[in-house]
Amino acid sequence: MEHYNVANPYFGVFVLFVLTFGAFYATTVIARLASRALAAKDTEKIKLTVYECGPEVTKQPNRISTQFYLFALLFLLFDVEIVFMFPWAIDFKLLGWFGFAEMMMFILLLAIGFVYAWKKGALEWHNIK
Amino acid sequence: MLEPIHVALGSLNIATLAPMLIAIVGALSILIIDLAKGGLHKSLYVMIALLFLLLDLGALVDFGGVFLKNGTILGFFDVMLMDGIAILSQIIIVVGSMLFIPLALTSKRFHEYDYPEYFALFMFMIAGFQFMVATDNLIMIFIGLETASLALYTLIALHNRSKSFEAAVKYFTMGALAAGFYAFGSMILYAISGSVEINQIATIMAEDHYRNIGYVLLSMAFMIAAFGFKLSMVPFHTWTPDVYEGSSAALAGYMSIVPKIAAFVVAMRLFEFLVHSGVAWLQVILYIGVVVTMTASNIWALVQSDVKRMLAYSSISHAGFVMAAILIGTTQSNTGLFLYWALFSFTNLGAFTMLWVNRQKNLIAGQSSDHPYEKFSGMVKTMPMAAVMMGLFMLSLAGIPPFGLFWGKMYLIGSAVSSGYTVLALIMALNSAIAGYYYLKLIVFMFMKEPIVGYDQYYFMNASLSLKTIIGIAAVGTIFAVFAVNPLLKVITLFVYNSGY
Repeated sequence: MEHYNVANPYFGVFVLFVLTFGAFYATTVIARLASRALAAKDTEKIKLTVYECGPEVTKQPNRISTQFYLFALLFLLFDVEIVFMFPWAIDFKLLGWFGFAEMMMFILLLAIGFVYAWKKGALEWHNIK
Repeated sequence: MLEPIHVALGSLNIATLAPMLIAIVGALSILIIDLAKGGLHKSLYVMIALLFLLLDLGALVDFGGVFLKNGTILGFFDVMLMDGIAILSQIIIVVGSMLFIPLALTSKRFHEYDYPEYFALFMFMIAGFQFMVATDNLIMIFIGLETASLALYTLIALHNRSKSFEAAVKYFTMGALAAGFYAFGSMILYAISGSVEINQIATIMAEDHYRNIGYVLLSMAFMIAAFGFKLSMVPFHTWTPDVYEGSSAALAGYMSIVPKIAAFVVAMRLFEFLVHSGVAWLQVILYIGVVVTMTASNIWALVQSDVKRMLAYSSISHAGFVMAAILIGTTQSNTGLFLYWALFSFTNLGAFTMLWVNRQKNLIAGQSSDHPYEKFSGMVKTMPMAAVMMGLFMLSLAGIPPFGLFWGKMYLIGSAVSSGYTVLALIMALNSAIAGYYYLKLIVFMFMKEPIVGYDQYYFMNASLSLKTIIGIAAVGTIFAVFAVNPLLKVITLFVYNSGY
């Protein structure tokens, strides 16, 4: 039996890559199947109404406040920035003063963005200016 | 153990970033001022934007002097590339922006100018365009393009009418598609050459004699689609009239000038080496694209009933006309491109500003769009000066001597003839003649018809001193272009020739 060398440093990355895609695919498929099996199959009222000057307004049972979207956006923004800081922190000594100056610039720009979001009240619930 | 990296700060040549940094600092300072004290009047932000743009222009002129003395300036691991065409196009971008930003000081109140973010986004957009032209790194071009485009979509949507939202969403979806195409094209170029820098890609491809010609053509198909969207070449032009109609007239004028010069410069960098490489396909595709863009958009412009849509189609036609310079690809034609666009930016911004001063909030009964031809009917009797100005811009756009665009057209057609594209030159001249019809149609409406009651109250409704000043500057630029053409040509030729295009 052939022996394969799996000590390549990128092998782990490859496995992770495949797993990520696999996990993503599996999640979507499971979500689809589960929702198809579990969802209540009411015939929608709106489907059966007469179309007269636009459909009759029905109340959405599961309204989601737009605030969640804003929070998700801000979270995504500042969370993704952290991704850049991990490799920087690991190679901190390697990068020297150049890396330090670059990261300080980056953090400064981020800080301005953060203060902006804060002052504009984006971090307060139900208080968007 | 790896050695620590020592990057000497001097080798980075941080100065190459100066023009963009000035724009970015301007944007940030507008945001910070708003945070410190909100509710300030828009004129303050206009002045701050103008101040930083002036600094930006100063830095660029300084770079121009350094370029002429020492040649191309590289910086930041060769990502930044300050050559002649980068400096020239940045000057056009900054001057165009300086002419645009005072248009915010209207006499009527508009929703978008109440937000300081409008001006901050505007400055970020300029920085994006500057990054886009001052590099030959495909990734950096992409970042610049996206920075600028995303800011521009928001600026359109801030106009706060249902048509503006429609325009912004249309532009966004089309722009996203174009960005995707651009990414695909660069991916293929990287795959076959192993480099993201355009001049290295050119060298590598020339060395192996275009062995992967299939892939090159595939990537060029994507690239032509991407730049077709940005430059509104004809099969990809469908967004243009709708977007121009939905955005404010001032922003529409801006969109017809500044994003396009940035895209032209990138197209020049990218297509120039391929046009000369003897890859016949690309030349044929560009040839067809140029001819169809000029002719088809001219014919569509003939049947428009709205002046703004007519100007939108006319700007597509002008873009096609200028795209011919990239197809011809000689130093003379590339010089012609910059000359044409410098003159065009004055004239076209003037024309769109004339629409901006006639902006009305509500349509009157029987009016189908914002700026129908009828609105300008008999304008010479109610507003003689305004009618003369509008007529001047129309004559210049039509290419009537001695106004601005005549010289641009003449120089471009001349460069086509002198490099053997006689048929193309003939088509270009014929198209200028067709275009004359719809520009003169507006003049006929303004000078030979009777005023229509109801519209006259809107003439100059939105005008203020700063708007009139911009119209005056545009008019001066259009009329006295005849004196500026020769010195301008000398400078442009020097810059274009020394950067090897």
